[in-house]
Amino acid sequence: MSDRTTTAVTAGQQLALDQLRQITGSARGGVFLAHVDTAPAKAPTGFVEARISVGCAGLSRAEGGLRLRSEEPVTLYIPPDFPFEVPLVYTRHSRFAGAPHVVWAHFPCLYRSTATEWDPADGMYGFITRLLDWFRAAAAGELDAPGEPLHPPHAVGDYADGLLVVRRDAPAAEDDEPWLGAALLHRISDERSDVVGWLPFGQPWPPTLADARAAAQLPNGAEVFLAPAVITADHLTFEYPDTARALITALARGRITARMVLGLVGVAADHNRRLRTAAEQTGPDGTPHPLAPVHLLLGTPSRGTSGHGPRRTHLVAWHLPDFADKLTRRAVTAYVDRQLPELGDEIMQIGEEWLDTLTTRWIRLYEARPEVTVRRDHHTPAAWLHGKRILVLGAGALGAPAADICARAGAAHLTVVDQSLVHPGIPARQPYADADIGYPKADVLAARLNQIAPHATRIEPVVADITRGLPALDVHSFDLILDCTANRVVRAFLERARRTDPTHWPHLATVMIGHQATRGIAALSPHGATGGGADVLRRTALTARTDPTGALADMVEDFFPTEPRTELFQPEPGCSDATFTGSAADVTALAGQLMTGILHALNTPADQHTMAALTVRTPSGPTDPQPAGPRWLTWPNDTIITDDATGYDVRIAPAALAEMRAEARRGARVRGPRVETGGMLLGAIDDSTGIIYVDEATGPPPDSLLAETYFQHGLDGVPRHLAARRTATGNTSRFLGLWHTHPHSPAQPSATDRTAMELLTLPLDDAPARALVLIAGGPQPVWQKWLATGDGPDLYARLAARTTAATTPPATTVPPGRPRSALWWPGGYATRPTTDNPLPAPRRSDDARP
Amino acid sequence: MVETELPERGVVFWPVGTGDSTTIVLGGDLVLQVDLRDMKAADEKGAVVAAVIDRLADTLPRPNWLDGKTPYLAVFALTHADLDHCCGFGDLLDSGILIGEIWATPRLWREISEDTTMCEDAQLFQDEVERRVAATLEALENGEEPASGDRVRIIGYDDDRDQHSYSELPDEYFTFPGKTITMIDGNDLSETFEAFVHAPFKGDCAGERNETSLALQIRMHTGDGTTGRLLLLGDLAYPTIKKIFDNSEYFSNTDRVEWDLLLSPHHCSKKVMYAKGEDGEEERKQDILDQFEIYASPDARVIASSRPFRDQDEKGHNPPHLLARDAYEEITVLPVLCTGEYPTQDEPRPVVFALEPFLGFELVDVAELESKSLVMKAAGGGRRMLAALGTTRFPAAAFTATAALPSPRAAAAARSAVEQARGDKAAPATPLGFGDA
Repeated sequence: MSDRTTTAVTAGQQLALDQLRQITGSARGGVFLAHVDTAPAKAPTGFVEARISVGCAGLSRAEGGLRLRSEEPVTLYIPPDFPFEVPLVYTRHSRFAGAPHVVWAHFPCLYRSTATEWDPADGMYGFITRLLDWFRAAAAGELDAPGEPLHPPHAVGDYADGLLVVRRDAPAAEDDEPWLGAALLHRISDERSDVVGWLPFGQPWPPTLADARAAAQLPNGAEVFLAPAVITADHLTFEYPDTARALITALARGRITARMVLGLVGVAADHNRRLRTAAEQTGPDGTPHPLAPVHLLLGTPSRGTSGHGPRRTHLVAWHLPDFADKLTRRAVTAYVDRQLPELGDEIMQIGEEWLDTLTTRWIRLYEARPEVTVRRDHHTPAAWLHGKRILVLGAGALGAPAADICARAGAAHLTVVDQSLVHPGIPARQPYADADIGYPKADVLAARLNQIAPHATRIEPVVADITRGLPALDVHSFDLILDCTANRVVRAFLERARRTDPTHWPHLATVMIGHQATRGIAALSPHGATGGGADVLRRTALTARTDPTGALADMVEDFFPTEPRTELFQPEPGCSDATFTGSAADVTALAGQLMTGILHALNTPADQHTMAALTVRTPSGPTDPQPAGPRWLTWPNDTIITDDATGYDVRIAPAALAEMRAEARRGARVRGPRVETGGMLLGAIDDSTGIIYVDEATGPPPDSLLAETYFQHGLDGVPRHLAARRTATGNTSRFLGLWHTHPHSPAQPSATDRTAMELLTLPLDDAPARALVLIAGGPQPVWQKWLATGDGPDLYARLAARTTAATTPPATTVPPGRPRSALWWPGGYATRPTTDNPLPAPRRSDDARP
Repeated sequence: MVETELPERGVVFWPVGTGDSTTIVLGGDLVLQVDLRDMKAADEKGAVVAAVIDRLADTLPRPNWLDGKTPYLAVFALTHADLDHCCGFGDLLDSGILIGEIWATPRLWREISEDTTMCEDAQLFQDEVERRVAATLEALENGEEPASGDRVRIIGYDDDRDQHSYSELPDEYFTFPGKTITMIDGNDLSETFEAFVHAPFKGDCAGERNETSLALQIRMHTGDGTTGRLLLLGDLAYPTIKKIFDNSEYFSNTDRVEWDLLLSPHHCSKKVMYAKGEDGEEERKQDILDQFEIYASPDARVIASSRPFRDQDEKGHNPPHLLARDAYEEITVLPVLCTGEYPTQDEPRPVVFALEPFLGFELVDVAELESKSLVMKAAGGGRRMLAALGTTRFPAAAFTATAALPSPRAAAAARSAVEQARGDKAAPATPLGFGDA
């Protein structure tokens, strides 16, 4: 080991060398330090060179793994800022050329992301460990495990000449023949152009600017031009040379001659000229527009992200301003209807001269090609949004962040509907700026989001009242509707539209935050769910209120208070919707959490989609009691039938149907298979949406009478039960009607049933003005199957409404034609029939009247 | 390596103290030995030098065309007649090994005629060469080719040649600087082997003995187009080596000075790159180091065939010189490999470089040789010999025969070096007392 000490090393470099010597000083060998040069000739200024060798004997080599020496020599370049900057590894040999994670044949790349993988505290110890890991993986052929991100080689050069962003998948050379053609460039600014298409030589190129724009789906006015592009058939392991001559010579080995390159430059220049009228060829200030391309794209096959898949084209861009200038002035007019070699001849003279004088200059090139890039949100729930069409209702505290999330996730289209304007108080927590004040939120938001990914995502603003604007929108064209309005009217409107629309709606997510922005709820009605946002939130309230653990009590208090909230927050004087208090941090956090939850749910397999609600809470301070974490509630679809009278949806919760079935089964077992039974239905009627919710069913009270063709619902304990349920559900679930069975016969109302319906709604005492009569029945196979397996019975529903103002009770409740010999059963849990005749007179239970 | 087989060909540098003993295994039955140092110390308890002749006798091929029993050394080449290059030659003659052909320089004849002091082994070597010259001339007189065992090749030119019997040999028994040898004891190896002669130069024939050393570039080719290149420069010092580089550049022969392995001249002597300047003071000669660097391959490696390096150079110290080692390490990435330190000072082993496809000359890890030696010995041929030589143990090894073989080039050693440096498993080694009494 020898040290040439000339210039002073930094403290960091000294640390690196000390650590390195600790390692190489090991009695067991393993790592050997040959030489340290503090002023190496071939390194960037200030770097210290340390040449080491690493024992690699005994590493198992797999098929396709690198052949390593038993002692591998490497040169380390230690930066002055070590350990805050990572040393470079260089190999003098090019034995690793072409291997994954080897840049330009000589630079093994140890870290994909130094920010996360490099630990300054572990310094050289970690670095050498990483080097050992690299050699182990290299020998095992595991450097390029499938799915690993691509590590594109760089062309090192002067980056002051601009920037190219490559957006479209590049062509590849086929059958060992190089690909020749042009890249279609969209000029974004003086410094930047985007590659938005590829035009092979020999096929027609867009004859006009409009055609070129159309080909790349660019808006009118977008400036487009062509740049020549060549893609070699062979994997290049050479470092890109630094003179044009050397580069051309290297390309010639891939059967791309100087003549072809120069000819292609000419053809592209000519086409650029033809795309423009004479007027367009001059810029606004009178200077000639650069007709000739200023870039030449050069592609070589390189590995793709899949590792074992086909090789992808690796691109670099060569900056040719001088040459372009010469061509423009002297030679452009010559390129009309010529063949490539012929054109090449004509400019060979210019070219030859140029080749010898020009150094190659590479411009910065950023990859945005789908084929070689992996989105950063890949494998996250947000990946669901990519390419989707989203309708965002509301552009406020939740809608604006949600729309932003969708745009960043690469949604193909967003429609943002909101009619409100930006007020001065809004920027405190919504992503709007001072300059936006007075403008519609939807317009401002769309304009901002349209800048995120203009080549991939379009945002369309609709400034309108949602209930009026929605019919004009084709809701079925969307994949997801986000209702971020926190508006009951919008919710009811959507529920109704969704119900009456025969086609299945897209996924619908309804999000809300609490009055202090500390809690949020997302109600999810996936495609095919029976309930929309209003329905799901209603059952959220029911579940939260009746949760025996009380874990959701805060949610009930915040979102579903029994008493209307009295302290409403009016942010500005004057007439305004009451709003909530909360900061940008609160609402953005809640929006992000709710969106993540929704996207997780949407990512589950379609056959597992259910109506669901997510509750989230923001964290509190370190010494405060911590709120519970996110929680999902889920519900299977309801059984839906249509009310005979109103056409309303009758949504029977699975729990209610299960209760009916349990009673029917018990009845069949205890009272005989043909004895009817029944009970009460609890729920609610929503006339705005046209939905009758059946939440619960009860069995027959003890004073009921049950026979084969007759069911008389008793009253024992009924008022008390109803009162208890009203209290428990915050009056959400009330007396709704009565159900009974028609074992083995059609679910159709009999004459007796029709009479009962009228009696039920008579204006007596607290009798309801409307009540649902539900009949479960069906022919024998259907009935038996329901009892045995739970497969739905035939159902009949009718919302009986009070039609008369009758004041007298009917003469009798005994149905006509009652068979004398019938066996009668009481309700409740009796297990014996009543054989003696006296039909019990209807009784009022004691608790019916306090 | 998962390669289950050691290649058939390669180079072995023996740990023989400060001296040279290089065995080049050419495949088939052909082995070329350049110089020899077989010291009495090798037979003593605790020896850290190899008993080269015994091991050669054990391991050399015993071709059937001979008698299936006699160990066969195709060529013995002597770079020059110093004891540290020919020690034990007499024993070699007596060992029962058949030496097919001997390569010699004309220098010995000059020394004998000038009555220069010469060691006994050099004298015996010279006698043997004389015998071969006579036998060859006799065979030719009888219209026959000299038999294996009688062959001789004179390399280099001396202007006193007319005074000596060898001058009667026909031209094909001579090779002059600038020429290539591809015949090994009558076998044409031109497809796989070349020995390019750089020196002795005609003009140096009367110079210091060291400066008349035979200098060769050995090239060995594999089937996949890989070439391994070894520079053997004897005990040459700065002026002659500089001349070799300059001549090669002048004659556009620079491919003949390219190297993957360099047996450092004169056992890693500083005289290669330190010489007297115009003021008569010794100075570092960067020009020759630059030339060494230019013609070195990226993975080039310098071998010091010497005792272990001392901690520092002192005036009057014989080679190996730290100054030389440092100078070489300035131009290579791989550290200088000292035969006396490989794999450890306590238990040196012959350094085996196998000729690998794609890699060229490749250091074969001792542990790997050990673990595979049984298989490889069974494989026979050069493979067997490389394995056998690489696993040679010396008496010193007897102490540690049961201990794990040190394997400083194992990947595991590298990991443990980092762990040790970082202190991953560090713990106090001894009980320690504290107190204010």
